[in-house]
Amino acid sequence: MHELDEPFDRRLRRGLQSLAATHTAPSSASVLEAAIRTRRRRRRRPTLLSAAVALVVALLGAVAVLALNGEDTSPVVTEGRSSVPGMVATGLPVGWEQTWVEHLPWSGEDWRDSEERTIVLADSSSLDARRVVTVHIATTTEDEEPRSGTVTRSGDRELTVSELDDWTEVSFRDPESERRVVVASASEPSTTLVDLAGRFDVRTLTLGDPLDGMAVVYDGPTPPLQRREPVGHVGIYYSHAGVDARSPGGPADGSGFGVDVAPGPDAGLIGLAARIPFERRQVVDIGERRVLIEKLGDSSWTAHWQERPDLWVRGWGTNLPEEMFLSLLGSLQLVSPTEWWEVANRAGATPPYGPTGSEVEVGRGTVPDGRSWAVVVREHRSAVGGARDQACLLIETTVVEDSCLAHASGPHPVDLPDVGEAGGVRIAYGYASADIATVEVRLTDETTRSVLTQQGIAAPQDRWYAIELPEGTAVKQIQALDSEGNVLGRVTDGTA
Amino acid sequence: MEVSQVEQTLRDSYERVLATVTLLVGDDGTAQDAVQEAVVKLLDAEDVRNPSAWLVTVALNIARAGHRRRAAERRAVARLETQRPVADASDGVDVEVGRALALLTERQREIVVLHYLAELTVAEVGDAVGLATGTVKATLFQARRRLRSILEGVADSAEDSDARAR
Repeated sequence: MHELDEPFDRRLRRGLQSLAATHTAPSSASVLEAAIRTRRRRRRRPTLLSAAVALVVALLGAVAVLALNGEDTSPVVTEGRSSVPGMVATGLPVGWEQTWVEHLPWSGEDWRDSEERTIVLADSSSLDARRVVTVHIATTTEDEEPRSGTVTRSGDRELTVSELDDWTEVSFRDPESERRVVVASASEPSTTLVDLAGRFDVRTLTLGDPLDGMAVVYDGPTPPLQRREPVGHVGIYYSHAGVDARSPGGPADGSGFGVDVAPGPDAGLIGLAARIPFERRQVVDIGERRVLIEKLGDSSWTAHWQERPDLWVRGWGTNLPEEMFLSLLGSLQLVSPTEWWEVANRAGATPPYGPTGSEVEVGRGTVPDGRSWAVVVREHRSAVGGARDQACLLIETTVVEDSCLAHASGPHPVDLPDVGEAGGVRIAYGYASADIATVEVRLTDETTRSVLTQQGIAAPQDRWYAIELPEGTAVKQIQALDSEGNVLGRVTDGTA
Repeated sequence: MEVSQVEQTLRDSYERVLATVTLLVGDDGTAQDAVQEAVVKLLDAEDVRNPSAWLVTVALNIARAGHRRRAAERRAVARLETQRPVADASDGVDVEVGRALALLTERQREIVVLHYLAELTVAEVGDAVGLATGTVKATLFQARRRLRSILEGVADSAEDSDARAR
């Protein structure tokens, strides 16, 4: 059965073995010993645990009865939010809200192949306390075998409570859809999970076409705000896969859609991107709009609207269906950052930044299946320092509220450069944070892939750096160094 | 399974199983935890025909589930950027194979590692990844061709035949 007779196969096998050999591991004897100990411990545990859970369930039942009979003690039931077709979280306890939903593809896996979907529940009143619970709904009925644990009941559900070393899971099988549901948390006690699991309403889930994914609300991670001059910058990002878009070069293994609005060095640009199978340079009519889309690289695009030649689109790697991309391109409200801020100021924001929490809708449209989307910008304070702005692309406006949570973003000292032309010279340019003294750029010959040269460039005062790219070269790696030569950041082949 | 049988299985194939899971999961700690958990399950399992293949399959399932759930919570809490270390060339390590492997699709990579490193048969690979034997064969063929194209510069001339096959 094995085809290991050819030299190539032997090399492949040896190569894999050599890669595997770099990992250290405990001995097989110690693994067996630990496994036997674990099994013994688990076999002892259920008696105590089941008693505790039974007690908790009984108490919860009593509380529920009191709530039903009392006047002011009834729990505040949050409104179910339909952020995934067919899935509604209802009856969540006070404070708990369904914040976002995401597909969880295995690294590199197409999100459409994802076997699970996850709802993240967060106690919105105490996000700082990191009260987060994830709810995983398998999208196939042939799920992994359930974990062993204590069986208890909540309502008409039979729940399995599994206490792991650093993790607690409460699982059940939804009788209607036959999907296995796992409510899990590293922070919450099993009592909370049992409570949540008993309340959760699971309806039929299907993995549909890519547009289904667009129904998933994702409070996109803080987009690459540090990549551009902060004044007036707005960046938003939407990802099916929940991939962090801050990686320079974009989410290499996630599909998504990004809008990047920033004045940058050329005041007035709107960025919007998706990797779609266009030819290198193509004019597309979208409704009444004519858009020129130009491919810069494998995952880099620009688009220009005929009606607004002062605005242009820049892009990073994504995998949106062409139809979706065109729809969004065609329906995006075309405003320059300057205009955008005028809108924001009219809405009451204090220039150049609005007060924390100010919110302005800058775009709205409808996707081909009839659902609507909106771009809402909210101002918030960044941990990096100074005011930053954040925006969310919201699909299905019914879930606009609370789906865009402020969060801090880490320092990002250097950005993979974009490649462009200035005065007829091909250049690579990017953004470096203020504490960068030098940006070193390694170039490779595109034919031989060998490293050609290494350059040191002092980042200019405006924090943008630029280097000339000799003919036939590509950027291989850049490093950001402080004044003492310490490497503050490194970007290699598109990966930070 | 009897402890003695599990012990024998581990003696024969533990390193291979762990290496396979580690390569596919990409993280030593997660892989070790997953294999450890799989061994616990193996102790309670019955009618296991190929214990090492069983271990790989179960460990991968565990690793995936755990990884996904933990990753979801991590994102929920902090949304910190994941930074994977850049692989450096080390003595005796075929970095080229590693890089070539990284250029495969996740499914191709998984099947290649399961077949070549874990030494699972095509049928066993199919069981492990939930694919039909024919699909595994086709994927393995495509992956091997792609690897060869990358590592030896052999032209990937079979695209046409692929297209015809479709």
